[in-house]
Amino acid sequence: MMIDLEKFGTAIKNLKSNVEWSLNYAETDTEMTEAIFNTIDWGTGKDADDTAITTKTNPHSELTWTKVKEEIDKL
Amino acid sequence: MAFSKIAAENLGGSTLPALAGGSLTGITTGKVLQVKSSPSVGGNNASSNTNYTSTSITFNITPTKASSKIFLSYVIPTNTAQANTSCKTKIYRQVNSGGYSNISDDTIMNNVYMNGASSVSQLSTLQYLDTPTYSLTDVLHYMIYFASSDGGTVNIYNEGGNKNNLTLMEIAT
Repeated sequence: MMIDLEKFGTAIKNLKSNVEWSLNYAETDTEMTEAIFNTIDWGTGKDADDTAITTKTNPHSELTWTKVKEEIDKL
Repeated sequence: MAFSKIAAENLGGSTLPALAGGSLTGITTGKVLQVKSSPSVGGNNASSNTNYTSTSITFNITPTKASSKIFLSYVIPTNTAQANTSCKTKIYRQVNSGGYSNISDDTIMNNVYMNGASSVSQLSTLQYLDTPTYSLTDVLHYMIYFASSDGGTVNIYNEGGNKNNLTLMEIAT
């Protein structure tokens, strides 16, 4: 279980509202890292079936790993 | 006169003789052709996406007969720490590598959490009888998709004491 995942979610919300993200991670991943951050699937929309359309290219310039990590550390 | 009842004592004893399942050759429908059980599949998954996103939880089966139905069942640990957020799960299917699509809106599980500040976990479980279209030798892949009801973070775990369990059965029609 990633112990700071809730902080990560809160940090994203604090930096930019209505951002949709998802990620898969291993049992051995206990903290959010830049490497995991770079695997996030960022939501960009949905199809007619309510299935998310995603990209691994971060479309949010406000959400760099440095800024997100800083926000996590404040929480 | 045709038999309407066979008394066990007429078969040479007080109990019916054992019969291997493979001897049930006269049964053409409703027969379980194969069972695949997959405990502990994939890793952990987290999302704030309100639309359904893929997970690492996938299982597959190759039907042995034409026009079979697939009975699928899963139990997966889900979680949220967000008040009143639901972790929604749904089953998608792809034939070979043709791309996943939603099987049916009847496969939605909507786990509602009414909690304050603490994290709450709940099992998401579902049984569904699928009627896929396929050719023999095709592989049917099933995957759990999940979504957040309101943008709060939701989790699907497969670790420690929170392991998933998936079962597929091919049923002759």
